[in-house]
Amino acid sequence: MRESGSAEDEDLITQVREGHVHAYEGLVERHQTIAFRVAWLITRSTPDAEEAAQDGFVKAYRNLDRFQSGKPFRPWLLQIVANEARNRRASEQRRERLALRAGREPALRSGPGADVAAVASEERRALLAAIGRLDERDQSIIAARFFLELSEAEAAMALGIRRGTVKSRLNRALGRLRKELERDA
Amino acid sequence: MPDLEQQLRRLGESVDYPSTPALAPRVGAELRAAATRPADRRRPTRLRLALLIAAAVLLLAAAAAAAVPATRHALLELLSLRGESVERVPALPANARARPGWRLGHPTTLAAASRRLSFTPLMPRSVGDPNGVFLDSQVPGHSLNLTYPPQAGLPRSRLTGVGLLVAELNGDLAPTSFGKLVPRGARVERFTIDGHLALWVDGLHVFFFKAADHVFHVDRSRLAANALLIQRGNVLVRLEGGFDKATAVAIARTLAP
Repeated sequence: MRESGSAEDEDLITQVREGHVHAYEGLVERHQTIAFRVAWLITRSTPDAEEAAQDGFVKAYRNLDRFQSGKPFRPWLLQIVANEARNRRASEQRRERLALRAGREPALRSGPGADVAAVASEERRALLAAIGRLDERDQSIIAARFFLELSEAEAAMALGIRRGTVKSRLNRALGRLRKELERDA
Repeated sequence: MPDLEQQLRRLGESVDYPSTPALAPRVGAELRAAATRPADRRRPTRLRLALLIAAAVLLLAAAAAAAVPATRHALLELLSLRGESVERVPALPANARARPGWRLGHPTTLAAASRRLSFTPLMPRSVGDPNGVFLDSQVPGHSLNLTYPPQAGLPRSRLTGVGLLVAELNGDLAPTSFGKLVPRGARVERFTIDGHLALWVDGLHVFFFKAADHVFHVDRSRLAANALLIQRGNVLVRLEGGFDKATAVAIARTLAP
């Protein structure tokens, strides 16, 4: 897992601070996928996630004077987006569920290797089902670190917790996930 | 069991996220629109003078109230409806100010807003159609803001910029999203309208939005005046404008889905 931050972000931020809004659009393009996915994992609603991500970017622009040059931009941005997403979390329980991308699963076929592919596919489904039985806190930390591949600092900011808490919370979540998987085995 | 963390990483690669929307042009358009907002939507100098005068009157009223023994030691009085708390305070925050258009939310249509709201919106039927519909997604269950142009009986408010501002939210989902700080100089009257609990606040006060920390922050507040709150089931409706109580009650009586 890596800490984000790049010379390109810094160049764009410098241009934005000089008044070039189009440079901010470049910054948005660089980070819109991760911002949207963080918002979606929190809200589990595509329209809410779109709004949260968009408002998060606008808020980040308006507070750019508070952003410390030289620090990585992405964790700071994701904290703002995550806050917007938490504010929008749908009141109804109807929320989109995590689904597997069908095309990424190996095609089931006959012949050598088919049984291995079938087992792998079943293991993924079982893992997803076990994650679905965890509470939201455990789901969020697992999604932040393994699905979105956020660094510890980014996960801390996105989840609104201290950096030191990320590791302990993740360990506990993995422990509970292992118990769920053993229960099904 | 194969390494769980490796399995999770592989699973992460196959999660079917919704397609990322093209946010860059939308954000750019929103920032450019904000930068080119017409001058007449910015607070005019005359309003600053009006506010200074209002603040001076407020201070005089507060001083007069403090001189009366019965009120000098008055403590905070809390009157709550589901959705907005109303607190009596000795004086308003010194840096409270008017912010026309503040926190109205995303401009939208009534049909689109209705699909997102966690309640059925109530429309005041006696004042025609709104000229602005806004959805505020920062309130649990979303809140709806409607603006109406100045018209007979609804003069333009110097604090909101419109003739009538209607705000609605689901008080069950957002019991403490909004708040009012009402100084001693402003009158608060509790009564019922057709059996529904209502509150009339007459005079300058501060309206504020309480986010997750439920704390007053001056940058989440604005000056307000003359507002009627009415609890219609789980929907809290706020009518605000430069009108008197009788006008506000008459409008409230026409609220209907």
